[in-house]
Amino acid sequence: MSGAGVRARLKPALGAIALGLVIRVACGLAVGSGPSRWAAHVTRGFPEGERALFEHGAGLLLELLQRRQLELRLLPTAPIVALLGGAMALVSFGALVASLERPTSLPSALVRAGRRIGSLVLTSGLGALTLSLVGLLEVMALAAALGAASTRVVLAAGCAALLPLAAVACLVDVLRAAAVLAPDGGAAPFRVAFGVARRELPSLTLSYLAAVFVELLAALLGAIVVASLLFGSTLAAAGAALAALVALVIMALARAWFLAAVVKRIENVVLHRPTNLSYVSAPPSADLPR
Amino acid sequence: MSRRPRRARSERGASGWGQLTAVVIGGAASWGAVALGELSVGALDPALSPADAGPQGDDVAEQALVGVDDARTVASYSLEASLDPHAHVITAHGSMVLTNFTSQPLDHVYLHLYMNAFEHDRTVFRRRSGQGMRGDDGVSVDGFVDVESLTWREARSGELLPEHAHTPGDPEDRTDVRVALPRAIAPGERATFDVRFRTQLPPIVLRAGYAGSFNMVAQWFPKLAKLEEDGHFAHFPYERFGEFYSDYGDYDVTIQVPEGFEVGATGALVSDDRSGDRRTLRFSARAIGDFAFAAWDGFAEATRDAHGVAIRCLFPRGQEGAAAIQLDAAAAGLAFYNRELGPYPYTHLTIVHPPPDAQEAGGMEYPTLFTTGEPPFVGLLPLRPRTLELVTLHELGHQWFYGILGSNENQHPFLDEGLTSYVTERALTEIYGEGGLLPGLPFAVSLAELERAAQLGAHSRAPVAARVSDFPTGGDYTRLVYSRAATIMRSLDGAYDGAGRRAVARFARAHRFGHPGPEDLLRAVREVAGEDAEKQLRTALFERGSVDFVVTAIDNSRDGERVRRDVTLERRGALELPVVVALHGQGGRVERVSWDGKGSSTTLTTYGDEPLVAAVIDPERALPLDESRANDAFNLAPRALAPRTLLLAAFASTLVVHAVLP
Repeated sequence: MSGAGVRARLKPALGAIALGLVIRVACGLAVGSGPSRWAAHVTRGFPEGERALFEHGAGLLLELLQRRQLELRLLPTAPIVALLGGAMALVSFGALVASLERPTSLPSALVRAGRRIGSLVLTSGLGALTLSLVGLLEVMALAAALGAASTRVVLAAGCAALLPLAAVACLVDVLRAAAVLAPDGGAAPFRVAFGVARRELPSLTLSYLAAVFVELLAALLGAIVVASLLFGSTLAAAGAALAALVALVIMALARAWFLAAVVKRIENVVLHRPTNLSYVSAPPSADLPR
Repeated sequence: MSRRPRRARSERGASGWGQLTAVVIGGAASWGAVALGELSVGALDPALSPADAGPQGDDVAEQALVGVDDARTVASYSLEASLDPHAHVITAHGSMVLTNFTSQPLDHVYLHLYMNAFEHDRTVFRRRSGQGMRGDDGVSVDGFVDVESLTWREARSGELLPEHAHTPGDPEDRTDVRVALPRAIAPGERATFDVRFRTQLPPIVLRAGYAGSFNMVAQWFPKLAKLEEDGHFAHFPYERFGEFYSDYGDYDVTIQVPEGFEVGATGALVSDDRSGDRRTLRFSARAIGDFAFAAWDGFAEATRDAHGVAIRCLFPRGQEGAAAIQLDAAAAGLAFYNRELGPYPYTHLTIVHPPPDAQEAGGMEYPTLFTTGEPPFVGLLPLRPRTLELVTLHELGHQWFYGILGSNENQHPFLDEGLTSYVTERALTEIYGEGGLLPGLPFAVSLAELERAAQLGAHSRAPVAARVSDFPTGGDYTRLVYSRAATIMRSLDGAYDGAGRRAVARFARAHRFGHPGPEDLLRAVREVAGEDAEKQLRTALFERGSVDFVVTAIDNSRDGERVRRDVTLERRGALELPVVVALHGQGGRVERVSWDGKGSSTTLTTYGDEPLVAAVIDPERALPLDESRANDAFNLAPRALAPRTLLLAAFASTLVVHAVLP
């Protein structure tokens, strides 16, 4: 997809992209608030506040971890956050896919995604299960190789193992996108997804890897900047917050770029759309495969 | 021996957090060309001469330090061994020369036959599980040493080893056997024992054994127990947690291996003859206490000369980067330890980095040789912990605490592992910085604080100064012997102006090629820091002494124009260590006052223009023995928020959420 094509698809979807980002950040804050309250609590006696945890070789932090003094009541109920966050993220994912497929208002896209929540949950669940199994098998194989192989061989094997994992992850995203775009529930998303996979999986996997590379790079650079600034002055800490936000925005855009490619493949391959690179409005649902 | 970390690989480290420079691969020829013989102190790098005052002052630095030429050699060995690296069998013969330096006639000797620890599952070693200590509990039982002949040359004796010799009081164990002599060895007499034996290595466990064609040949020959001054032998069975104790002696060992195998061994290479499909290497060393070697056909080699020492690293092919890290760490470590503990007295040092499937051989020290290694995944981590540097520095430190000082590792393991851990922490910090172990984190996590955290509460389990068999579990052993001993020494530094550092420096210089015990260390502490410091150390080592300081209250009251500020402190535990308290005024001013730590509580009263808002005990964290730092501070106006923690946790969580959620 050309740059113009990408922009054409992403521009109407900015609202959905922002929503996804907000949901992720909200989930992160919900999870992070627990450690934050815990840190304030355990360092309440120290004039330097939370810095006491990390100064002098992080001795106080290590002591508390060693004693398992984590004050669990102050920690967030992670399962609830995961459940709520997951549900909201699914809806925002659906809204993003819908927005990438045709220009629409965010509420309309949310409504469309909401109607597909059942299919989204089903395909996401199956996808997560499949990914976990594939990932587990690959980790086990790599772990078995660790004992006997050289670091170079293990590194090469690890890189090679990423390909099938990326292909499966890519297929899962295609399936979820199809769950939103296919007119019916039931088997329709699977037919659409496998139709795309049959003809476009290699190129989509490459797109997926490219997006993941950008996301990892942004995350790594963001983490480095955050780490180097966070425990400096207040101004530096504010810079760390800004760097974190920028990294997250880049990651969200990279993911949206990949989903735009997925939506385009679904249109072009399954719906037999013309392959021009500009945005094409969706056909009536009667044209969709059943 | 390095511990767990090795898993965490500790024993190694990267500590290395630092890194490399040129790597010289191959070079067997140049290695073979290295001059033999050991240096006495004066021949070392001028930078290490007495002109270097060392850490504790001129009095110690100017002592005439003992070198290999001055060491008392009691038990010397001359062995010819042939290794079948595929059957993992060593066939050997040679002689052991025991000099009776005592005033007592010796009508018997004790022999350690360590490899018999693996001959069945009822040996002392096998009866005890690791329980937190390194080593696979599923130890193989096919290792043994079979002494085919043992005779006394001067006495023209017959076979000396009884047919059913076993460890005294334990018929199931044959790692410590008594050998009666046909006549006594007179005081001053040298007795030459001719020996022929065959050793079968087990699959690698803890320190020795094989993995594929890699053979770590240690604890492999019949070894005379340490002869003490009073004429008795310090002997003990091979215990899982315990290590060794030996007299110094001269070793001359010839090793035959198939062509294609590289050998790293104790001492210096004297000759390297290749004939047909066999390779014969001869190693020699003076004034050492043990001999080990590794043989493998997968080794590559890198070398470095540093501070007058030829350092040789044998490592799995393809791991040149790891070899460079180890050479860098060893070179930097030599400089540090030479300065702090007195010069390394040998000309050679060999580092053996075992292959990935022989990690159990890693993290172990032998004279002039040590093993390293790290789990393969460590090298793949984006933020690589310096575990390889850590294990290198730790095992290098053992060249002093066990190697040059020769303490009884079975009776007083803290004297080698504890002091080595202590100096390793300092070496790592000096070379790589406080957070050098885990570089890349937003805050520094120091090895010393990791050690401190590991030992919290351990004093309730056993004294630090216990013998190996007295520790309830392997976890207790590592927490007390490694971590708590090091933490105690660091607390001496904090409480008595660097007393730990100065005392260890004095101890290390005063007992070179001696066999010091705990009292010698206590004496060194008394000499540098006084009787109170010695008393506290004794309590901490022998009596499970602990300390926990607490700030319990701050009270401000008007006293005329001034404010009277009362800070109430408590001290729990038997250790009475002096401590500094920081008093934080309302306007931001910080005053420091001291408490001698005597008594179980005190109220510090000061007067000032402003009331106090907070008080912090030991603000510089100079007393890591303090059991809890969470109660070290009291604040009348605590902060309600931890924004940095929130940002850090939220960002990390969001990254995870981004990866997990659709």
